[in-house]
Amino acid sequence: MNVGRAYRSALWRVSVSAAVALPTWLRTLGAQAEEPSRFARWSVDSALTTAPRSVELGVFSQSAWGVNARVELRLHPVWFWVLPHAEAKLRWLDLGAWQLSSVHRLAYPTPLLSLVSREGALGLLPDTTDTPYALLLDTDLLGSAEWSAGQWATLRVGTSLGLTAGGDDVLLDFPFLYQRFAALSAPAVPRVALGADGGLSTRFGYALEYRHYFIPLADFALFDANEYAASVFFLISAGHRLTLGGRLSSARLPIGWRSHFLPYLDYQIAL
Amino acid sequence: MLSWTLGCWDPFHTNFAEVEPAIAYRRSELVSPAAPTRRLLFMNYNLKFGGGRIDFFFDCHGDRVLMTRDEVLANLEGLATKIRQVDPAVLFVQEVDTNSKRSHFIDQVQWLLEHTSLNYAYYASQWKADFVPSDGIGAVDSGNAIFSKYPLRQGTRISLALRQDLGGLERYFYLRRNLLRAALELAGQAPIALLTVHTEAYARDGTKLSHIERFKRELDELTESGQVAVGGGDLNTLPPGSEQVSGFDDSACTEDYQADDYSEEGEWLRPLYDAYSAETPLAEYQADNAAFFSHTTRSDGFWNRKLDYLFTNAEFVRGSGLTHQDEASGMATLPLSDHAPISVSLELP
Repeated sequence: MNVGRAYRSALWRVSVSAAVALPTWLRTLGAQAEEPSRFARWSVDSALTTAPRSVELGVFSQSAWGVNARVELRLHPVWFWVLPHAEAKLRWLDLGAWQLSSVHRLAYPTPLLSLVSREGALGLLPDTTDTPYALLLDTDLLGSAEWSAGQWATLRVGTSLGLTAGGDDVLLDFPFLYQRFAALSAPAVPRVALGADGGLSTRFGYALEYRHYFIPLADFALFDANEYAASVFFLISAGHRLTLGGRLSSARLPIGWRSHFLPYLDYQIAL
Repeated sequence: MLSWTLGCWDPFHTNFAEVEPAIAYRRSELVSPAAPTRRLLFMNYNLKFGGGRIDFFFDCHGDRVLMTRDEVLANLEGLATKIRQVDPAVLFVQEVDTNSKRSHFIDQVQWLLEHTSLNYAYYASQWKADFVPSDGIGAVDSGNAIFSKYPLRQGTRISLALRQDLGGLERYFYLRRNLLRAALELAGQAPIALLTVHTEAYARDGTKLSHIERFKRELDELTESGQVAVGGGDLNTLPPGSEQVSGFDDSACTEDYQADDYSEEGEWLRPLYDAYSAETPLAEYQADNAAFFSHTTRSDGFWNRKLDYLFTNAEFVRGSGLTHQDEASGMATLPLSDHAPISVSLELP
């Protein structure tokens, strides 16, 4: 019996079942539980969710929608067209200064893999690649503590599962994408992160995160990747803010340790 | 502006210093070579990164980009068999991969050391990038190497001019060609300077000629300093007096510019032939071009041009030069690479 195939087949069944059940569950979750007392003004990587019915749009970052008091949905409006995906943050526990949430993300990377399997520029994979049908299922548990007024520290533990059917084995060893798509070539990609965010003044805020990925690729020894992110927010007015940040990836790729830096600037609107 | 930004920032680590130490290698268990005699056998081989006769996209015969591990190992075994059969004291190679996705990240320099009787090597990248975002190439580290049975010292990578006829982004990811220099240490003998090069193939801005001239200038400087020097490599052009200079039967690419049209390069190697001894004297080549052809991109054809050379400022043993075209020189070489190896014996002064 092919254990790998049976394992992947079981994962397929679980993920499809979860995808069918999730919308119903999300609708009932907010109604059943007691409403949380604290909300994030802007979508953050802590366990806090945004307020019910709030909408946040970003030029480059993910957009967020507070579905109800305990559920926040996120997706990237541009990336969505080449990498269909959706992300839900569910708030499980609200003890004021202690918060517990989970984040679930389902992505269908096949269109992106097809797009980058090409001749010439932006050909991240060979044109001859037989692109597999694939799903990426990410699950994280977030615990946050407010260690000072408006200052949050967050521990995040999660894993990424890749489900593929047919096609070639694809290793997208491009900086930053590598750790995010490695689950397509590995049984699972566990990760752990430590983060902090909060206000610096009435107009300035910050977010910091260190994230570590474990990447057990099939043909190689265990690889890993570290990401260090830092960003500063400037509140232009109540519903408008600018974000300036950078993300450093230091990853042990099949070619060895490599570090890459990605600066970014974003403009966000909260409705 | 883009070129300048990428050059300074170098996010994919493609750049090199003008002069820097080459990467030293050593066999895990040294093989005791025979004591050197008055003659040393030199060999030059463009290995096509262990690609054998797989038809890759870049030579327009096929569409392959990546090899499997088994394919690479099988091709390397063929190359190592040929090297063991020739058994050179010094081997110059071009297009050897040390850490490339296309060759399954196998360090071919170390692999060849472990599978031949060569003990030492220096390596210099000529194409290195954490990721080449084109054609699915991905990570690449490929270059030139000098192997030897005897100790090597002072391995140095000397950068050659970068072609300028490309846009900034393409140039950032393009090959950084180099001269690789090392010193061969033999007991009771002054060090012998070794030099290998793989000159530009595709530029239309005179870069190839500048590389050939730089190779000769390096040999000139070594000669002026009184050192015995042997230089070799894939010079990507034909000897003076070649009967066919264009319209080769393996030309499959259809772009406007044909890299295998050498009609304006007829005398480019003349200064090297005039100043130094070649593994194949020019008169012998001109008498019978075909006997010395060392390249074809077609797996079902035969060698149709000479691109590979060995030169010295001392003397090669007369009649010892050999272009290993087929079984007559020990084993078939056409299936091993798109280049045939060449060899020659050096008479030690």
